Amino acid sequence: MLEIKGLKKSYGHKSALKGIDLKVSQGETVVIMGPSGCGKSTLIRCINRLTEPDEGEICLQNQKITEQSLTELLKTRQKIGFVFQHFNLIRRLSVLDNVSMPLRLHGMELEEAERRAEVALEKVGLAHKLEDIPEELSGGEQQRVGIARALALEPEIMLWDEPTASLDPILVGEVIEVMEELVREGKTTMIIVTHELFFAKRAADRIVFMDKGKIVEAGVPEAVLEHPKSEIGRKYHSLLRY
Amino acid sequence: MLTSFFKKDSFIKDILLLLVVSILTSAVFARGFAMATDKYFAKAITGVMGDMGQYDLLFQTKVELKGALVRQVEQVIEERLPGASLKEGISIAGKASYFLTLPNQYKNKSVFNSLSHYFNNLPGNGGFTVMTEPRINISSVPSGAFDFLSEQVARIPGVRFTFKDGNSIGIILKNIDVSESVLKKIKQILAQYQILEVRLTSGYSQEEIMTLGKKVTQNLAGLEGADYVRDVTMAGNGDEYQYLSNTLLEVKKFLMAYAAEVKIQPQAGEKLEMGELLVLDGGNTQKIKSGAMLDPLQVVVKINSKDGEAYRGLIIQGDAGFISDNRVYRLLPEDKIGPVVGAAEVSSRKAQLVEGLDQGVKLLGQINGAINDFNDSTGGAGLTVSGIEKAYQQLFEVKEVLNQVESGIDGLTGKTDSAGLVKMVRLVEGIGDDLDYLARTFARVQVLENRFSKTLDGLQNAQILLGSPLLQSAAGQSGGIADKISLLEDQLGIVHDSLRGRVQTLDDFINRFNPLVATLLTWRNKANSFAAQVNNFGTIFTPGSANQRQLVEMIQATDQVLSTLTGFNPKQVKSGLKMISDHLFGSDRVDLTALIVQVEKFRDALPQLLDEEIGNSVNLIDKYVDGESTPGERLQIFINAEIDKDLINAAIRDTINSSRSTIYSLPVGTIQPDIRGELFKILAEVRSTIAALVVMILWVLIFILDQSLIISMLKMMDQTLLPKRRRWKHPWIDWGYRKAVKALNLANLYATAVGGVWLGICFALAGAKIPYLNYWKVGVFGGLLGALMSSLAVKINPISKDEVMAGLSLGLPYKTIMREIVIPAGRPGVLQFLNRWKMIMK
Repeated sequence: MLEIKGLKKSYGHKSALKGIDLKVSQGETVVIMGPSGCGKSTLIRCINRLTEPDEGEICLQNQKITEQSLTELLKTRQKIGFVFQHFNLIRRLSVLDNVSMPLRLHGMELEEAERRAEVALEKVGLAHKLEDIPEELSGGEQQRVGIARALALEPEIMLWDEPTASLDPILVGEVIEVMEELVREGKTTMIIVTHELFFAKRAADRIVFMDKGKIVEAGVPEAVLEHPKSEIGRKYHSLLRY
Repeated sequence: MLTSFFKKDSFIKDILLLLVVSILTSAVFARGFAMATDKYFAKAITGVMGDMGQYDLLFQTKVELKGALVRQVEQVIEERLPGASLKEGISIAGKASYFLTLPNQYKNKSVFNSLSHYFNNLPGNGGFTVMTEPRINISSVPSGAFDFLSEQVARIPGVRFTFKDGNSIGIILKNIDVSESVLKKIKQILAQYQILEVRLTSGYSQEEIMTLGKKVTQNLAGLEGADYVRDVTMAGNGDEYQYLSNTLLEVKKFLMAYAAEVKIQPQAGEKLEMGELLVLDGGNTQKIKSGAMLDPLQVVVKINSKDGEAYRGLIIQGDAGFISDNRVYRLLPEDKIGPVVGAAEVSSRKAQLVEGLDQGVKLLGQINGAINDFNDSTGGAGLTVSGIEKAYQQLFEVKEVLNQVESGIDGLTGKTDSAGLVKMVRLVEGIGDDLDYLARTFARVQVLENRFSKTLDGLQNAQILLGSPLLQSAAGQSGGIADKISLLEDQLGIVHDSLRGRVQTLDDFINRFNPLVATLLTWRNKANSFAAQVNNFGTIFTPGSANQRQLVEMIQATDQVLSTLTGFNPKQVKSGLKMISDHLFGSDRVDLTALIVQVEKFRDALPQLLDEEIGNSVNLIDKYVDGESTPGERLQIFINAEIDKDLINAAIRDTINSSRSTIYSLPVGTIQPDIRGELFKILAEVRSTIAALVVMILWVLIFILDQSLIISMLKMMDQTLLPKRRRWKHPWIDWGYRKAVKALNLANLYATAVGGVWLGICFALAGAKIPYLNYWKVGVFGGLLGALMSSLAVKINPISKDEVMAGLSLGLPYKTIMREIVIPAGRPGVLQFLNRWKMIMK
């Protein structure tokens, strides 16, 4: 479904990605892990060109995203749900509006948009908070609104950029719960950047370890976590003992 | 393409709309605000100055003296301007003001020119300003050209009258409608003339500058196209002062020539200074001596020039006639006489002139007396001629008698006719008396000739005196005295020439008659001797005797005299003599008596001044002229404008004989609108400045509220004109390239462009102006401000990057992100107001 070839990205003189090759199949859940600054977020942002790659090729369902015009890219982005670390909600809009906004702005009628938004919010457990504004919600709730907003567009692929990193540990669970539920449904291909080792072990079809802009190890959770070959893998392995 | 652009829904259209709306709104607001301010001030001005033409004079004085001012003005109104009304104005900063309205009949040149006389010495140094409208002023008009220009302007149709308002020509118009046409005509008149300012090199005295001005004016007057040339160097005062100064300078010249000249030769080692005072003994009872105090009868000399090693001075106390000793003493402070410093040579030109004129009068009197005497002697001369005629007749008779006597002599006895002899003796005696009378008359003619000759010499001296440079310089180059002297000199010349002719005639007469008279007298002596002998010794003329020889000699002598008298033409001689007796001289018919009266009058008209009076007068004139005349070492000449500049320069440089002087052409006056016009002009400037300030404030507001949001968004997009990925090997070039990439960021370019365009257009539409900046420069200024604003935009109007990223991740285009996310979250402004119609997620 998604194929990344030789993806490179630099910030000035510093290389963030040094030639990434990755294939993700339809319905697959891929968790990308690695130390901070290893290029995980850059990679995931390059997939929908929120960050423009310098070199390489990204194909989604045989369409080369890296060669798309802005208009084509906008359409492609509608097929890619993106969940941000900091939720990125529109502060002035209510929960319902935040979720229905992309639908309405893409031309859907108000009623239909709101209906679909309500469904998405119900899925993340926030049907009772429709009129609240983001400031009135907890971090976990805000992130769930963010997830609902991404789901409302019914994307073919979901990209998660450390969805729990900004949450305090008590609230992490409710988000993990939603994520696991979505994985269980198996309808959507998902690429998740996270540090949640146990979530990765439980939910991932494949785990990819990155270090210094490169994929250093990839494989099913049992393999890469139990018998790691890379230094990063071994560090994560050691964490499993606690 | 343009149609499709307008049909397409893009954010660029939103930006353009924002620009148009914000510029128009701002311009209208700024213009409106400025106009409201303008209206307020205009109302205030009308409140202060009254309506157009309502008031004629504005008086101002200290508040505490306003009662006195009112009393004085009301008194003038009662005496000179009945019907005029006085109204109190506002009092500001301790100054009270009053407005005077004049009835129409007083609005004329005569009254307006007299206003300064009517309202002089107002209390508290109060003054007045003419406010009559409609009015135009021509300021900075040179005094010498004032009347000339004023008369020309007064002839312009639509001008009611002109008047003198300080250094300006005040022009009162018939109505406001003619203002433009009159202004145009005035400009045409002023364009016809120019003031040539000649900056001189240093070293000219005021007097020299005035003389130079005259010469330059005379030279320029000869140039083609120079209809009106006038020296207007004298600044500040009117023509009268210039005339007075010129006259005083002429008087000074006369006095200087008339004054005694004291030449001081300093002793060896003595140094004298200009302006220093010296003392000479005035011949008073107390002899001058060093250390004594100055006596009023002693003569004080002030040094005023240097002449080689010597000095020249002017007597400022006493008179040249008082000086009894040529030793010169220095005058010390507190009027103490110092040591001897030199010797003086004094020549009193005043005395010389008076003496010359006295001598002239005396000589003319002598001529007159001589003429009168001659008139008396013309008969004498005539008698001389007649006497000779008579003697000629008588001699014939004597000769006939002598011939008879000779022929009647007996050859043997020698006896002759005794009756004939007796007749001859009687005849000779008679002729002898006549010849004595003839000799006396002739002697009188000789005396007359002698007097004429002497007078002629004296007259020549008098004529030389009158034509002397001394008297010429004393009289000056023109004016009544010079004319009189010239006339007198001419008339004396005529008298002299005429007299010389008469003397010549008399000389001829004497030269002709002198031998005749001598011959006649010799013959008379011989005849008397012969007659006496005949009487005493008888009538025997024996051949060979002494008697007979004497008789023969007598006959021969008589023949000789007769032959001499034969060539004599009495008529011709009488005619020549008649000319001498004429009372009137020559064709010019100079009346000697009248001439004597004229010379006497001239002598009497000479100033009866002591040298000290002359000296002090000269000093006073110097002080006055220095104080009143030229404003520096420069000449100002009023002249036509259309004269070849090179010709002018050449003429001036020739005259002043210097190539270092510079010549400028200046306007002859500056046109100024009336006070109200001036105030409204200032108001217009205030209005445009206020509009500029309002536009600037609105610019800042628009940029803070609206444009900064767009700029922040563009910064976030981080697009630039130069490719970002390009790398340069050389680190400095690479560093420079990075800076250029950053500088040519779309946000910076947009901010600069919009800042300039917005400010320039808004300035133009609002009628805003900033001194020294045209709209282009304002645009550039706006661009610079825009660039500055670009660097501050993110701080002024921050955008939530998270929200924008969310919009991007959801596949929203930038225009939608702007409309739905960024603008609604930004500061309220025109952009947000306009965006409301475009928003979906309201």
